[in-house]
Amino acid sequence: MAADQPSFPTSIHLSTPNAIRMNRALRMSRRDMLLGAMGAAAVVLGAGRGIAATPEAEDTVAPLFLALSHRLTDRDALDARISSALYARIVKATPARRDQIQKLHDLMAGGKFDSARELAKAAEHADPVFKDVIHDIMTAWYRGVADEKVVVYRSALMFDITKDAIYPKTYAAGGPFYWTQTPPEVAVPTGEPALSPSKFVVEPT
Amino acid sequence: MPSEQDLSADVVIVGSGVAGSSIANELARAGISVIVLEAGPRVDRQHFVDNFRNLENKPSYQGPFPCVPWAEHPPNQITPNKYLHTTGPDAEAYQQVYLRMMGGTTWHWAGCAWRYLPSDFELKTRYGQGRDWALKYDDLEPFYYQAEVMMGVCGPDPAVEDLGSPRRQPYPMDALPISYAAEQFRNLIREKTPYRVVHEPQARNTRPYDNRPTCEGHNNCMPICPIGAMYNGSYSVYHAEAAGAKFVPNAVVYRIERDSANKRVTAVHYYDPDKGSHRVTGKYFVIAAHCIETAKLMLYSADEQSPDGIANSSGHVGRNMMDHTGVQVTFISGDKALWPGRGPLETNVIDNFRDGDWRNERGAYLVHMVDDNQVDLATALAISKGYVGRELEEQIRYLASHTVRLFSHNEGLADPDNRLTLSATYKDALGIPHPEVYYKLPEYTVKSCDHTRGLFKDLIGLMHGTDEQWTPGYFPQDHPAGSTIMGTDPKDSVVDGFCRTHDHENLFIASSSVFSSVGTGNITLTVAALALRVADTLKKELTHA
Amino acid sequence: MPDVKRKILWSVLVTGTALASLSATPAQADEPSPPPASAPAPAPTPAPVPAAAPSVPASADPSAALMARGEYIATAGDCVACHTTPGGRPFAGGLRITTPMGDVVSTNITPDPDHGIGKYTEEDFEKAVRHGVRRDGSRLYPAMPYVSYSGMTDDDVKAMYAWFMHGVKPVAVTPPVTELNFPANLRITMAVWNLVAGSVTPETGDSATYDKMRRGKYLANALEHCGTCHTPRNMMLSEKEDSFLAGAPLLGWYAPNITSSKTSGIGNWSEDNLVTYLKTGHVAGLSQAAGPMGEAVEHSTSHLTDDDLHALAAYILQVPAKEDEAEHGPREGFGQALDAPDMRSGELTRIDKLDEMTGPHIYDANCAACHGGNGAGTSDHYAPSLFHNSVVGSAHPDDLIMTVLNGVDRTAGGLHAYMPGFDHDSDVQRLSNTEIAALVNYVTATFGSGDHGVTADQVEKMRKQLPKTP
Repeated sequence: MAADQPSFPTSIHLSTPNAIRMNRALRMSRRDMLLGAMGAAAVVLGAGRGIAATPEAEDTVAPLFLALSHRLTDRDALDARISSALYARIVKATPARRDQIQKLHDLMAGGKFDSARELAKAAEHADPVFKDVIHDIMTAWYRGVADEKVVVYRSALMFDITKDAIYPKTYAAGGPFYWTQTPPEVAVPTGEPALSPSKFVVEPT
Repeated sequence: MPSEQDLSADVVIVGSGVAGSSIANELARAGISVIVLEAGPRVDRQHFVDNFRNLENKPSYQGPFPCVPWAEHPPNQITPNKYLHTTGPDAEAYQQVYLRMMGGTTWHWAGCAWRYLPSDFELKTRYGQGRDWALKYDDLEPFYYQAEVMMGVCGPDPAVEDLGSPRRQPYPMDALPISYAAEQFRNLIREKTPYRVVHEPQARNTRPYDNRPTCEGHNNCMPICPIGAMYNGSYSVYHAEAAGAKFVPNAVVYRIERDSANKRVTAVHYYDPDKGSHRVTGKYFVIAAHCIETAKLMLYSADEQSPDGIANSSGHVGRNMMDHTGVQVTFISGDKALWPGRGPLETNVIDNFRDGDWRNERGAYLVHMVDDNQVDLATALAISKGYVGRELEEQIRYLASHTVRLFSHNEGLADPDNRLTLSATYKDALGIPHPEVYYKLPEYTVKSCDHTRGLFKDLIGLMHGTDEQWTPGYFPQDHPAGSTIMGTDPKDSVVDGFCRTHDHENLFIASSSVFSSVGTGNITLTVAALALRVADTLKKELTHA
Repeated sequence: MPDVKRKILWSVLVTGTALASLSATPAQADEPSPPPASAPAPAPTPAPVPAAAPSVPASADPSAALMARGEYIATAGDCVACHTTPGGRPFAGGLRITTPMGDVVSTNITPDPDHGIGKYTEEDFEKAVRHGVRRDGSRLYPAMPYVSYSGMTDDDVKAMYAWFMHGVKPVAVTPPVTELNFPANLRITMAVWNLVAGSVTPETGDSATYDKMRRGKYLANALEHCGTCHTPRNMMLSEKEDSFLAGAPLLGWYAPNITSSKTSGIGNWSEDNLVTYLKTGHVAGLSQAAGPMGEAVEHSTSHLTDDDLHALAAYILQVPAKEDEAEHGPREGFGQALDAPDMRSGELTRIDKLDEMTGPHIYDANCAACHGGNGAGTSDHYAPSLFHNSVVGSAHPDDLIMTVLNGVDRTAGGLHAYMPGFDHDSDVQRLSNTEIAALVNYVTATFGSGDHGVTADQVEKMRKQLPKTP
């Protein structure tokens, strides 16, 4: 047990978050500054100055990822900034994905696939590893998650397709008591899955 | 350099959550000097909002709060845990989470502000089960109201919807309008069952209140209200500071010093993050450090005078651990789209099982239809089923609009064998042992949960539900109670009806740790009411002195 | 009500040197109620001021019609704004207005004989309201807009007097005495100021029967005293006649140019837009009132009749255009919804890491919850859009900074609009000067007319304008 010290950090109970930040800033080393600046660059929001990092943009597979994504989401409009960030994260987590994405793109280019479902079905048939690749791509675009990290949150496609009914948590834009209004009805889906089912594990909290 | 005065106050409080900060606020306003020692750091909202949005596992409400090494808190509800080590046959059912930082665990609560029922305080007398409290509902009623005003609680007009806890004043704010989903659920229950769905009282603004805005339904009460429409302990910290109370962050109290007669507490000692030790003296001391940390501190403070720990002549410190162990099921409704997750998280309950003659053999419970945004879950689920493209989007919309989740708070019961001890294996960065809890669900609670499962099955049937997913076993509701239990007999309890320890006349405990029974309603409002009553006692004694 | 900041023209007290030089010269003015020198009379009505009031306090109950008129006039004159503390009893005074010269404390104008104006005759009342002279002969500080009120008709002063004497509940409390720094602490200074600033000739006849434009002018000038805040002051501290309603700073806020200029003034607002604004404090896609204007709407304009609002609006819309070189287009015309994904690091910070964030990051963590990631606000306009918003589009970022610091708290048109402030005592989030500067620059650059280079020092100065907690 440490000996009692008469000293008492008087200032600490008067300190505010701002004061703490100020103190920290004054103590900041050059290395901290650099790290801080890098961190800031990585989380720039809005204004189009996002993570769309240049090294990945030069990766020749990155455009293929976007092309594949168009087909696998059945969407013509996808954000290129998000695409390059998702691609970078996916490849960072699993470097083999670069090659797999290239091959999956080759498969797409070599055939005629009118829908995401057709391509996905054919892909899993051609090589079971493509199922994992497609899961990664779906998770990336729809949940905004790659490498178990959030790449985009409110801009994830899952919120785009539900925006007539519900808001992403922390971004509710209906004003007080909007929730009493009647949301849209949703018909029972008739579409079939493309891939074989996987075990669904709810992440523990 | 600080003076002696900086190390001393009329009242020294350990813990800055809703209990500690509200006592500090009351005392400071009465001109009484107060020092509050908080183990964790000062924090702010914007960083939590940012953390939440960066969090991959969104339902992990402990997730946005990565702790500091000198004041660890449980990182998640996973057993085995990195901080709260649970053992026993129902270890997983006691895997609680809480927050050690300025303002405390109400940074992530759902704002449910229940008063207990009069019967909750007399469980033994009325039903022959568990224990009675050393106070009655009427003793607490004025403090319940004071707590409701302090937090800003909205709730229904008792003439329209009587929640069973008699009120002398209306709620400070009108009830929150429930969501479309909750309204559909309420209609179903009314039309198809003998039960009812009531508005849940909530510490949430239905109008601008206390310099905070009206709720805008961000659906993120847990883990972090992004706009401050819901009460949390930080507001009481701010108000107390404005009134002159001193708060010391990063002050980890590890020792409670007494006089030679072992009757009065003379000082508490805390470590700063570098393990420098400091001694703080006062006339009165209040431990308001959360049920688990309070018991841990009292046990860790054991010394030659009190080899079993502070205020522990009864041997009951750390025993009688209770919770609202819950049952949870998620399923897909076969009826029309509900789109849960529009509005606040928890707004409505079935309250028919909060009390009844059957409490002589099984515990009470209440049922929430959780209004939680299911889009992310629906997406992950639809992807796992193998959908892509257009079909995936259809699935997401359907699952997100039809997923229903029910969960319950089932009444625990004081059992001395359910016990918190100091870990012999794990220590934190300051060398203080981690808490360890042995837990076996009381039969009383198991029977209650069985009853709940029956009800849930009926409700799933009524909603033409499919794909039901039962959360395995029993899950913790983070409403721990009982570790310094209240009673009239010093031989089998730790504090009296005023939350004063039997052993030390100037030592009070303000925490759910004093609860003698745990009822069914969320515990926070009762914690706040008990704390305000402690403040009232202290004001009387200090101003008469 | 959150605070005690009201639309007080401390700007007239700012120039201490001017006051000092003024007070040094004509010492003979130290006599009670010197007859006010007329400023150049704008109205071509040469009617003399009749002192037709009885010289004893009114005792008989006035007619209901007179009372109603008096109450309406008092509302239109927004007396309550200054003469009532937040949550305090109506017209009991005590509102503390912080000025660089010290605090001006408003007086009790309830009919209590000892603490209020119960002993005032109608003549006394008229002198105070229209000429700034108290019953004891001393001068009122020009915080009291008597120069504006001097344009009121005799009938309206009479009606207002009747209402204050019989319709207001007496309150037996004397507010603290105003203590200003030298030289403004000499009320004689005010007499001198008054000699220069003067007054306008009262309107005549029955103001209720005026045609629309005359009624609008009367409301704007004699009652609502728009110019008190919106007209810049000249060297002699009186409103610049050639810059009527051309915009001026006050109490940290900026009362914008509301002349008919399309680029610098009221822009493309229609009469209906203006009426809606004055009635509710908010017009979607144009603007919303906070601070002193929010209070003016809450206490005064939202209670006016539709006819009066239209008259007021019509008058405002024809005020001669005055350009502001800083403004390059209609304030409400700037900006658009932001189309940018919310790119994230996916990294979490430890709870004690409270480092300052960048502008976009601060916006995202504090503002976007209500105003939207794209700045569009809520779909019901409860939280306004930030683009197409004159506060954000203005070349003067003062009001945006003050709103961030102080929030919005305005009840009008059946709606309680509320936004928390982010200043040093916010319970929601306390932002530093640097953070607020970064935030405001980001918001105006993204949704308004550009980055105006707000600095932390500027924010600190404006923070000091915030009211002290009562």
